[in-house]
Amino acid sequence: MNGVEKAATVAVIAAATILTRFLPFWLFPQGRRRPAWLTRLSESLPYAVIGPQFVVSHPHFTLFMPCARSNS
Amino acid sequence: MTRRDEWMRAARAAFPHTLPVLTGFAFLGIAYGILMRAQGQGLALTACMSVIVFAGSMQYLAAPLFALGFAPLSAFLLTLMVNARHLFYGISMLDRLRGTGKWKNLLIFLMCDETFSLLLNAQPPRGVDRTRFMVCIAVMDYLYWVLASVAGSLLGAVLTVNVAGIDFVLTALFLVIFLNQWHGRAGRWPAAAGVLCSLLCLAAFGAEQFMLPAMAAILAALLVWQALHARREAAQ
Repeated sequence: MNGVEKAATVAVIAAATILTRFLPFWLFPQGRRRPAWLTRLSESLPYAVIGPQFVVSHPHFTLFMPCARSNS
Repeated sequence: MTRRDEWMRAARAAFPHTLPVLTGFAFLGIAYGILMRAQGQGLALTACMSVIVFAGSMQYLAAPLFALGFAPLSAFLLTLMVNARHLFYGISMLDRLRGTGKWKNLLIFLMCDETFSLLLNAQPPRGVDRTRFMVCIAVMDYLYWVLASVAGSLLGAVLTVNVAGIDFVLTALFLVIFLNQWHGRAGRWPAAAGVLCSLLCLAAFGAEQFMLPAMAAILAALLVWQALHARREAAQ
């Protein structure tokens, strides 16, 4: 990649990241009625989404699961 | 109290909460700068990635891409897949960011895993404005990452360092947050579901592939649980 292509790649990665961060707020802006299941989900989800971060960062789990070990 | 005093108070209250992230990001950020250097990428690109993208795991994954051919579409799709978990953070934060006014967009932009975890749990002490407290945490975490990756890039130009294993600080942070949630009983079932689904998917798919299936499994488990719950309530 040359300089311009690298800059474009950074921009593309940034755009996709921003999209994943902002999309829920664009889809469900304040004031608009949300479906009940989504409200309930937004109450229980915070407790659940730490799970994957914890599990994957914990050496114990990856050490004793040979198939889970990363190849890099 | 002037506005400046209020920011200072918020910063002082926020700083201790960010210490685990400071430690973790110091090493991970430096390691990222060194990794980019090892891939032949200079300071400008490393700094741009940290300043504009600010998503650690994606930055690590993208490091080798810059040495390959130009493939914007696959970079875009890879980013969407790796960062899909942000959608879940966003849904979790819909109500918690209410009332943050003009700072809301900044908070959303700065919502990395660690900042999300801190904002989920950390409560400002009495007399400290909640929005300012959250902004201080988010901006501090951001600065740690940017400065550490710049330092890593500079270091990587002159020496090779092995910092493997130091990311245990962040594991400890996630464990503490998990235990906090476990103590607040309301979240016990979802927290257990989160860890169980993650373990199963980790065993089935491996560390590099497990995030998306784990998120899907968690979503399915919570939705089924909600449906059963709603039905039980209707029956009563």
